[in-house]
Amino acid sequence: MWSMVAGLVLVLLLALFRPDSLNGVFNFFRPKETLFVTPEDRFQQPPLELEIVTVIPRDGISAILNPGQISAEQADDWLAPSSQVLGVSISGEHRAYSLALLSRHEIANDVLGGQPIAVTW
Amino acid sequence: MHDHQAETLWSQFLSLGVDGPLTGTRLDLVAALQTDWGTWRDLHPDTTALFTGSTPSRDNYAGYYNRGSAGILGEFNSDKQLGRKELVLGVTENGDTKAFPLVLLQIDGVVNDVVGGLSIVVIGDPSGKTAAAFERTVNGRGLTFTTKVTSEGGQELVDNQTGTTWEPLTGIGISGELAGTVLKRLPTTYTFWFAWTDFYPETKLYRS
Repeated sequence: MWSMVAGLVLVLLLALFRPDSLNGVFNFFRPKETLFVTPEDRFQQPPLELEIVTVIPRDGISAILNPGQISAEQADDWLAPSSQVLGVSISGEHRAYSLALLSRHEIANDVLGGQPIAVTW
Repeated sequence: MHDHQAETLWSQFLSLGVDGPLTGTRLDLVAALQTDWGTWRDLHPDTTALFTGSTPSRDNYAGYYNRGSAGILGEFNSDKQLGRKELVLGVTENGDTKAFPLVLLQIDGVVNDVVGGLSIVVIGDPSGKTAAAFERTVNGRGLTFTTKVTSEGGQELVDNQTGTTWEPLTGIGISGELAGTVLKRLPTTYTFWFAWTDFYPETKLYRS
């Protein structure tokens, strides 16, 4: 009951403030005492006990769906040498994902080296 | 994470569907390196960068990273072996998990280890800000690595079996018998200790 109230309060708080203005981390799952049951035997590890806590509604933080890309020379105008990035290499292609950008969207749906990937933060 | 096609809720940490039609389905983890733009650009001069039209310079979570608190929902499996906001590189292989503290990797430089039966090498950058993990079996041959300081003050990786010199953050063989060979980078999770132990309470912890 109290967790529902707390969740509602958080949702209301988030309705008042833009999510990206909050300095916090949003965990959607937390371990719980009850057993987490899967419908089939697809689990490859011992079942984890989970309670799903919805803090922000679906699409409450807008994911990047159709990103573009720029060259390293173009990126130099934006990113400082000390700017944090997540670097990914697939099939000889390399791409940097700015954490300042990712932290505003949390997920970038991209294609690198011909492979669809979700870069999550 | 929620996908728009199968309407399934996914755990980012577990790379696993946890609610909806694809519950129990695993996502393949892609290996990545968390570092700064200058380092990444030096390693891969032909890199591109993701671009959306907006060019934020500041990470909104910068204050959160530097604070001692665990965030809005807090922590659920308080494990006092490390401080809650201590950074670790988490490795998951064959159901086995191990966390390598960034501060120890910075001091030790290189760790030859076995996780989930897989022989791996974990490399800490002298900056203490980044680290990388690779498989250390090449063409069926197990290698063990040590680090060497270069005349320019940089760090090089050398294996004891062939004497090949490797680039630490890319795993590319630079000179010696295995020059041109690329070590297979392992998927890792660069995260705070409290978050890692919340999802992997049985994790092993690297100690020097």
